[in-house]
Amino acid sequence: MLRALIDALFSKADTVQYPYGPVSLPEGFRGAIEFIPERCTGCGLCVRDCPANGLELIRESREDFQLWYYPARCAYCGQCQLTCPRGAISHTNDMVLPTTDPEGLAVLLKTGHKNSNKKQ
Amino acid sequence: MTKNIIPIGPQHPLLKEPISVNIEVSGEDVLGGSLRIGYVHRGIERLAQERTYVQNVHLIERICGICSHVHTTTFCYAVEDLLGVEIPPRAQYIRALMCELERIHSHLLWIGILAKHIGLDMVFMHSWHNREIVLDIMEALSGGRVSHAANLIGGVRFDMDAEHESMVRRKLQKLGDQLFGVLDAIRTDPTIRARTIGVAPITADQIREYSVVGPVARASGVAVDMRRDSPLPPYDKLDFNVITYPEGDAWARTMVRVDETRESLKLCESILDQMPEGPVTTRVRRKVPAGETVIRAEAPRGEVFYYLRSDGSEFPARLKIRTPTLAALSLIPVQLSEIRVADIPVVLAGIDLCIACADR
Amino acid sequence: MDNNELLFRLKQTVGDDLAVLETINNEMVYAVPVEKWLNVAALLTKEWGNIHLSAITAQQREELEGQIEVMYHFWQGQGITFVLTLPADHPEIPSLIEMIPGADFYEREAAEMFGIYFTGREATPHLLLPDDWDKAPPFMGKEIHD
Repeated sequence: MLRALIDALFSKADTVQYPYGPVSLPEGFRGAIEFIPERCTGCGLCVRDCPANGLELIRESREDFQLWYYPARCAYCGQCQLTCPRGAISHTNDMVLPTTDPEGLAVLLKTGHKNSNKKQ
Repeated sequence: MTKNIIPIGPQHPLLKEPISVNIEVSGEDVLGGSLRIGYVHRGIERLAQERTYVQNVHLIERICGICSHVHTTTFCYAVEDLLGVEIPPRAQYIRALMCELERIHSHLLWIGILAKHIGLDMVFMHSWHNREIVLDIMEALSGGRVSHAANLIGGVRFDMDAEHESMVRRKLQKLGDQLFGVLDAIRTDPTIRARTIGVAPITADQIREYSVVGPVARASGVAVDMRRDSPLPPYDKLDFNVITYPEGDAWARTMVRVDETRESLKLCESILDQMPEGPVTTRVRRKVPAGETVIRAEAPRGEVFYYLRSDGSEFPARLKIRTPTLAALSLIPVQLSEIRVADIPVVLAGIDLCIACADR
Repeated sequence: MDNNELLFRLKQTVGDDLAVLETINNEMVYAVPVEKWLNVAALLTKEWGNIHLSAITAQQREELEGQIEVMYHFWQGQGITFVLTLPADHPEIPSLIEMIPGADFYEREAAEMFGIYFTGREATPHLLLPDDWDKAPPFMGKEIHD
């Protein structure tokens, strides 16, 4: 016990001065979503596997679709990253910032033809 | 003397999670109590019938924050049993490693809570400080401190290379050095002994009557441990002791968890030593054939029981979860009849309530 | 006692209505009629002295229209499950709390989730649902209640 006390006396504080200081997150941390529109073909597997209904696919015709992502509903579980057969969606290790308007956070990830790379 | 009723909960600084206990007291003596749970009932079993198996893995993880990995492990083993696949050995060992790490951090959390209730804030700070080391290991391996999402149907999501392994060994070594001093201090400290020895003893017969499991049962001499009795792989290949104490009082419940923390640290070392090479996932079909299965596992609080039935469609037909705290809760009115008011925090903490698990 | 002796004693207690069903993950499964259930429970608790009750699962199977199936999962060195079938319009089953006090919470949960009535005990108060729950039992019916 005394040894633990002495160690604690001479080590620096664990507190991280967020948001005024840098935050270091480990490499595998599941943070904000990153999307690569060229790879997405609108197959909809990610939508089917998302446990929180955080992704939505709106079909406009056979080839045109919109893929919406709702960060407020997202559970940051990484299932979409595992499911996507083309690696179009993945987690970065950036922190997700808080907000007071969760519904306004919806992000249109891709719109248009399945072979286009138009984003937003 | 007049009788009074002290209502504790559902929101109370004494409790981690909402539970309502009405304690009848007369002066300093506690005469009895009654219990009400259900404040965080989310209907997980019913919700699971409306989600696919892949989505259910994430739903099941959110039953409880402390024992989340054990729940997903048991569910994944149940689905893999219905699919008829066996996951690669390396994945089995990684699952067991995360289970043991979870057991360590759950017991450290409990030691801190008990010390705080007794009034020893220093022990609380030290055990939670050491618990951070375990949470850092889990975050570095899986990407999340509490919601690990480590399991998938067919294996685990991450692999451990040599760098990860040496980091885990280094941190566990540091944890062991820092921790053993605190644990020995708990064993010999006169305040903790005075507050817990002889408090609310439970006999082995009462344990069997109420079908209690986990450290509470082992503290009364009833040696039930699903890691030994109904082992999920790879526990059948690992060597460990089942810790029991005969006294059955609050001190025995404390010492069981203290000794189990040491035992789990040794088990983590053995798991790292024995871990074989190989893949960590195996391909599985999406469609689960019809069938039913029963899986039991050892969560930090005792035996967790899963019954899963599939009718061949994409949703499970029935998922039944019996968590260990539900069995231990029925002991609270029994224990509340022979103590004094100052012992109430020790008794309520001794069961190690995980109400989110019990309510589902 | 081992499986053969248990089967022999069960046949003695229950008679010809006992059915040995397919094992679930190496656990023995026996189907017992409701009328003989208390006799079977007395056999288990007296022979083994407080057998460990893991869970009580109630469910409805699509192939069994209009019936509720109640499964009692025990553990004694290995898993043993007993299956009872009740009619869904008046599901009644004798309570075990005289012999196994630990069955109280499980019976209360099965009662509120499926509307099962346990005889031989005082009324089952709600365990998980709120006291003023006025809708149908959550597992009977198709939609999820708010």
